[in-house]
Amino acid sequence: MLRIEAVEVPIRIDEQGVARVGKTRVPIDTVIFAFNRGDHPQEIVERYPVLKLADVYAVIAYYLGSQAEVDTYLEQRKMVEPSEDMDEDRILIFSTYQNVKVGMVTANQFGEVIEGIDWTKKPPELFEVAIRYAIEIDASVIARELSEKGHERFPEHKWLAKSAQILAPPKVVSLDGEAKPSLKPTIDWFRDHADEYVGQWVAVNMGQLVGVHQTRRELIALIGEYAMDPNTLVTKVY
Amino acid sequence: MGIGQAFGNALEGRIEYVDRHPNDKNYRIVMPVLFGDSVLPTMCIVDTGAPWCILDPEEALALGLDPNNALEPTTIGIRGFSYHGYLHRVSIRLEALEGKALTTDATVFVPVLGAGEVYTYPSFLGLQGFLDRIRFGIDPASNSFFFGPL
Repeated sequence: MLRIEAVEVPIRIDEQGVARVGKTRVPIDTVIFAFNRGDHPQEIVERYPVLKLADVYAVIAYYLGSQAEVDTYLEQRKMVEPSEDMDEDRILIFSTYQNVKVGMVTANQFGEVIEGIDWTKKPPELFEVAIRYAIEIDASVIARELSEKGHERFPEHKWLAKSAQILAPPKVVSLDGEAKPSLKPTIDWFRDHADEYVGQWVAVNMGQLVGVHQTRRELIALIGEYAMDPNTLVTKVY
Repeated sequence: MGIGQAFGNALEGRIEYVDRHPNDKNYRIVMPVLFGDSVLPTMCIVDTGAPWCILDPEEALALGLDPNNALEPTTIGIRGFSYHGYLHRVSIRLEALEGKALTTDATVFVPVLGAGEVYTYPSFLGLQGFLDRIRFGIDPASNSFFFGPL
């Protein structure tokens, strides 16, 4: 006989108050955003292989059953709306960010607001909010500097550690890779023939076209051993 | 110090670029680059106006980039359109026809697309997060992009 049991919702709240799917670090925002844009759960799992298909379905089911509540949570995550107990700096950062979004002030002015704050006395949450806003308004230098500063002050804070690592200045890892003169005929091919394949993925090896397809994945399946050859250029033509 | 001496012998690699994608009405610097663990180079636009490096989502999917190791969903503008996606840390290798290839560890934005949605832009190498920490020079007479470490 079929046993019917309640399914536990695979959502956990982490130490920073972020709702995540199952045991992964993927926030539920990702699944719900993809679902609202029309992604099938199977496609979501293909894009984020750490997720289980059953968990994605369960998160969507939970979202559909508690949509207003979840939408409120997502809005709070996105905007961190000012409230009465929010300090002046947080309100200032938020309002400046909003003004940049609607074109009333520039990202440079957002930077001036950030520079005017005494960050030595601010909690990690304020760093996080300001970094998120800086990224969204393309103020990448501000995001990088705040990440460094925040991580220095709060080395145990996981999100700030991650943002400092990801936004850190690029580092030259090595300068010992061998030159590939064999790419020359391939670059020449792209210059002379790419216009015949606009909107498609092409594979070119030693100046010879070895495959064309609408998607990269199908192209790789199509070209066989060329997919293992570092002389093969695989690119989309725009 | 004379003009040009600042570079000295610091530009250790040279690649030839194509000056545009077919559909692009403006001149660009389009050249082969390797992302992450891929062995297959892909064409990428050097764009000093781009705040981040941007990787085509299909390329990113092939690399198997883990969102657990990325900065959570954010939205950035690409040529006037908003894209939702993640910021990852990825290695980028500038291929060389002559000299040495150069590999860096850089910040890369990967858009997340909805079903049926197509990313209609190339991959970009941006100033922030990539070009601001290497030396580079451009010779339009030979379509050459020279590069080296700081």
